[in-house]
Amino acid sequence: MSVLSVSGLGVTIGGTGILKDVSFSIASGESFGVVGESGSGKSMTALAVMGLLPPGAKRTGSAELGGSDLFKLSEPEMCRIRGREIGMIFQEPMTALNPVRTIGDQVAETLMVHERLSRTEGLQAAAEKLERVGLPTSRFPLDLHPHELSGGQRQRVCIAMAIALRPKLLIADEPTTALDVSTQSRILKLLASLVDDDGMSLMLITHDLAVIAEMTSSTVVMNEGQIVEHGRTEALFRRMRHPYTKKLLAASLYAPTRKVQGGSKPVLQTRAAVRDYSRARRRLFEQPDRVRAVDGVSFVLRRGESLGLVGESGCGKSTLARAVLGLDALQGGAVLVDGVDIQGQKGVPRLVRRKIQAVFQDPYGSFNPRHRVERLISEPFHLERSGMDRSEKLDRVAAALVDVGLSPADMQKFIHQFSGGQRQRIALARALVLRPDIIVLDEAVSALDVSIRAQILDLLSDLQRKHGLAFLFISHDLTVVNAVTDRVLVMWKGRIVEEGETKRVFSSPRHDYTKRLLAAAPSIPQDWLD
Amino acid sequence: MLHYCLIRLASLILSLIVASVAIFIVIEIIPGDPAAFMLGLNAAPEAVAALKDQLGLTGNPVSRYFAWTGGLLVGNFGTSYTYRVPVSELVMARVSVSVPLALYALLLSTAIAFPVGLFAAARRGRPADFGIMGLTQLGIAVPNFWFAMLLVLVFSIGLKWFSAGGFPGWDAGIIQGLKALTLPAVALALPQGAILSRVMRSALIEALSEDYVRTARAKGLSQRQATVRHALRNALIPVLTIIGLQFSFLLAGAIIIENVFYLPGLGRLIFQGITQRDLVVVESVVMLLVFAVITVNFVVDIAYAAVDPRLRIRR
Repeated sequence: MSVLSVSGLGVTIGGTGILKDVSFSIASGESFGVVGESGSGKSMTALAVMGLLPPGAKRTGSAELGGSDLFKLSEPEMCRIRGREIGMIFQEPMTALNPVRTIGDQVAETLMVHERLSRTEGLQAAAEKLERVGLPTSRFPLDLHPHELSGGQRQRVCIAMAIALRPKLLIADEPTTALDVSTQSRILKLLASLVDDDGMSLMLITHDLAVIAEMTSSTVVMNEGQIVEHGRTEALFRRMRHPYTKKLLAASLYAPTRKVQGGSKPVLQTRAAVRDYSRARRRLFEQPDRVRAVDGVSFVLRRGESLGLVGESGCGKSTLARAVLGLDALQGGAVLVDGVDIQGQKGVPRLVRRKIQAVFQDPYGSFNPRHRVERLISEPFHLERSGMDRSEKLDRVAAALVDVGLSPADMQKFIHQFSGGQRQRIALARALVLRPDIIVLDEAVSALDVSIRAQILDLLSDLQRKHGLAFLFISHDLTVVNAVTDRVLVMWKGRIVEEGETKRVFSSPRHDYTKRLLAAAPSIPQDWLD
Repeated sequence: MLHYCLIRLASLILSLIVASVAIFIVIEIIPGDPAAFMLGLNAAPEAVAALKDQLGLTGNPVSRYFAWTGGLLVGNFGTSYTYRVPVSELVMARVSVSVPLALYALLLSTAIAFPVGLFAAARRGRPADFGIMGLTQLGIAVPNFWFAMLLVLVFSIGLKWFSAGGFPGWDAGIIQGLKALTLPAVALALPQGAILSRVMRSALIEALSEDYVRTARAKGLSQRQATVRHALRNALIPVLTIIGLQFSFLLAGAIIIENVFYLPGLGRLIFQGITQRDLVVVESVVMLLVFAVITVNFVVDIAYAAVDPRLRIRR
């Protein structure tokens, strides 16, 4: 018995084909996976089913749910289906909730819209639903606002809203992509238990093959608006018929060939680094709470080495990165760049500062959209000792662009003319142009699709070999850290709880937290891949 | 929330102190004898000295400042030099015109802006939206005194529905009073309403593209329900900012319209005070207006926090 059966779905926006002949059917009580890279049409498929396509989009084909074709229903009829028959949750839990309304009201709204309940009845039912998703009112009162919750908790609220009326189908569009490994594992468990207990079907959209392997019984692989392969999940992994699926898998497990080449000379060290934050005050004359984000952290990064830093969100990774870059002052301890303590000085000396550069996660947000690439890349030149003439600057910008696999002609373009992967290459060029010793890569490949990510990882290892760079590689993605680092630091609640060679830490973790972290990461069963 | 209100209140009081010091220094301390200024170039030195004494300009500046502000606190604004009556009496008569007029105009402009903004945002990019936005441009471009004269021509001289100017006083009855204020309020509200409509529209359009509106639609809300229940309140912050600025402007800046309609408002009082060199009136009325503007800003700040819970927490 199928809950949803889509056949011949096509979508065009302004004449451009977005989806072509997409057909699949989801059985009752089944977990159904849709996997593909960004732009493959995964989310468009879901939005087409929901009737929430962007303005100007046209769809063809049919989507049968409970005996009626959703595409033939009127808008008011669709409003009755959404939320009642099909629930949906989205990728960004941070923005998916209305910031100015309480979580109780927002969950109750689903019930009030469809069931004509009063507000009191709605809130009562909302309390039950929130309890169901692990947010009991004793600890999470209904009058909390979204900003008072963490990302994982907000995603639970979204799930409570989506399942409040026990829909037949729950569509989850990248529900855990924005969450860290531990939270991801808890949310996926919750989704699995909802499918088991309520007999609901789940359509899980993700770019992550490991999540697909762990969660779903059948799967479709999408590429460029079409389904390229479909079948039972296990069989699909074992067979891997379609070249695109093979490519996707290879890219997701990709590890560049690199050999450990850490020299002995430390280029970056921290000694008992401490960084406190003060929390918001609750009362006027109260001493604000202090939170210790980084608590006595010491590590050494040697020339030419890749050092990983892993941990869940809020563990202090980014705070540590900011301290190392000299963006925030420490309250205690020392940061030594090439033997020079950058703490206790008023600002980091320019000649020290130029030795350490950074690449961040968001390849678009870290560039001024109004400047040409030439200016973006030459920005760090103010750290150089002496004035350079323009032709020398241009030469070095061109060399940096060639280094990262772009052409010198790209100098005259603007950042919006590049794809996500190319933008990250430009970010790398900007970091490289001063020929630094150290690059801090803060989630630098996290926003990229797996095939692009593989290319960037290759590039990073090439550049490391060529220039003898040391990388501090910060990521929540354990697979990548395992693939590209020599040593790894595991951070938990502001402290380094485990440190060691990457291979050793991943194969035989010693600290309980490391074990939990590794267990939480979704993985593809090894025998499926043999 | 209480913490937030207290902080805002502290900032209100501080602003008032700073403003009162500034006004006091500009009018009484900075070189240029107020008494000589008030009496004109050819005044006899004895007359100037006598006036200085009368105005209380002879003592120590610090004690004079405290005497002045202390007086303001208990409603003693001094005595007008030209009218020879307590300034508080003058001000009260004018406030009873200016405040209702400002509120009336603000009410009208808000009543225009909300539906217009909602309508245009819902039809973004379509002909109705372009039409409305064109009209609001016109509303902003037309000077309000010219529009006021047009209103007088049509509704007073032509249709004879309203009087062309003057104010009968609230003793004549609330209806009569409101009637006299209607044309000026409309003239004031038109450009303000046009500006507010545009702000409302763009704030709504931004809010409508947010993820939570999509979430609301996925819950089964219609586009209209999602707009009213989710986008509208989030769009209110910029709208409140503009409303606050507009109220301050309407209170003190209605002077041209007051002149067109011959209304005894605060703007005219201060204008007369300046032309008649009545610094006692100017000093106190300016302080009063500062007080009004700062208070409006305080109310707007509290309204922000009422609308957006994230603002209730302050570091």
